[in-house]
Amino acid sequence: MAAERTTADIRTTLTEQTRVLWGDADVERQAAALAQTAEEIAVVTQATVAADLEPAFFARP
Amino acid sequence: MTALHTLGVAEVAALVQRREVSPVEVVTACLDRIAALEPTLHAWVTVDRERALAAAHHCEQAIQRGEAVGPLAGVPVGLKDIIYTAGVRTTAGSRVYANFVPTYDATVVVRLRQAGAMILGKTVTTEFATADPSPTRNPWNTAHTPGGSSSGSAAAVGARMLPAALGSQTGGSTLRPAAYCGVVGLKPTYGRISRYGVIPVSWCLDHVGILVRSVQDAALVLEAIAGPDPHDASTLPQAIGAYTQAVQHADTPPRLGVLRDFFRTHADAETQQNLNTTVERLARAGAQVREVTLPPSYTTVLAAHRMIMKVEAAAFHTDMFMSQREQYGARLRETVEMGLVIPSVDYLRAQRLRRLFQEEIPQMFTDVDILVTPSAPAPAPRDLHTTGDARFQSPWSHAGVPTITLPSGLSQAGLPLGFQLIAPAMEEERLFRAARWCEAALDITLTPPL
Repeated sequence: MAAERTTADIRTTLTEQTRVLWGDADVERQAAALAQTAEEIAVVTQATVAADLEPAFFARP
Repeated sequence: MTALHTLGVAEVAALVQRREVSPVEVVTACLDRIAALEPTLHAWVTVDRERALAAAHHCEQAIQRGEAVGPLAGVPVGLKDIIYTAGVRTTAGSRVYANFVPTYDATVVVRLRQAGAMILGKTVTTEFATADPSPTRNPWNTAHTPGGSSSGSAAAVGARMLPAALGSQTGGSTLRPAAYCGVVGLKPTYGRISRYGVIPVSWCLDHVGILVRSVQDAALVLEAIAGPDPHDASTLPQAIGAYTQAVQHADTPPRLGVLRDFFRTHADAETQQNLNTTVERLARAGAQVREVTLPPSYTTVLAAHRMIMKVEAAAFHTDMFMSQREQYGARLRETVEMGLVIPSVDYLRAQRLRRLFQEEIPQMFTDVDILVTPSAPAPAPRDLHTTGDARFQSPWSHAGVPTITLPSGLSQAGLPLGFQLIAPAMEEERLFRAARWCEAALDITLTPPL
């Protein structure tokens, strides 16, 4: 499911959440940040991750 | 005799141990230098003159009584103002923490004091060690940023206000300001230095960093403060390495792997030329040099790093942010607001990709000992509204591997340039051997025109 989201879809979702949290003025002010964050999420969600790869958090590098 | 404020960590420690210089003389010289330059550079939040001199007198008396003193006895050190100091204000460069006075010392402070270091005070940080610029100026040219977030630590060490300071690095906050200010900056393996008592940006990415003027000084300070800490579950359980010995046995030329691709594309022409010249000099001195390719997962590194940082920063700040949002600077406000809306499954995917990158890192070291890149894409920008570009340093904070920046010359505009050495996780001794060898081969020390 995650891989099907486009950058535009992601940006729309982020924008609506921001609107709910902080209002229209903030959405306008954070437009560039919302676009950049949507692009970052798109890069991450479109990358291939093996099913057995678990996150490491504080594990030793 | 050389002016005391210009001496490095090893020189001060040796002179004090031999009773050739008093800790009081050294501390006084550094305090005088700070007083002279601080109105121009704005590197300090708190100069703790009284306590520093009291500690220096105490150290002097101990030496006169013939008592054993630590390896950093008499060495002045500054602390980035996100590091807890009992009884001394720790502002994090924020209006939210403007009057915060910790009740305990961070583990790194405890260890510095045990090693005999003289804490001179708290150096300027950007707001909560993120991207809103600080008032600190670059000692090479006050129209340029000193970098950040360890702005005050880098400017103070570069300006010869003192020989060493601690910083931190989540993206590039130690190595970038070190490179911009012409000093040596070290970020060890994640977990090598305790983060207990250090105000976080991102728990998974934060490292304590060291800013000094030589590789030997970096090894001395790391040896004093590294090691397991029961207060910080992320610290590495292994005993620390023999870092100063590694520096003393740096006779073998390293096999250097130069990373091009991304780092060539994004460096300006002057920076590329400086790296080429530096690598050519190292090769002529005996280093084996070859090009190394980045692993496949590198394409996700910057995006995953930024997502993790935003979400974890938001998690730390949520409560304060909800009640004091107007007290936050524009860039931190943006970071927190974006972190609050990034879906949790996407954050976890970024963490899984981080692990993938960590697992691919050893591929790059198959035929080389150390990786080499420019420390930053360009010299310090002539812009006090930015702290510069973190893209050359943040991949290695993301992976948690040790890195060091060394000065490699001046730009045409007279600003410092640096190159970054990268070692596999846990391999600080390898990093120190290579860095010391390179330092000796290049023989470059940059002194700002102050």
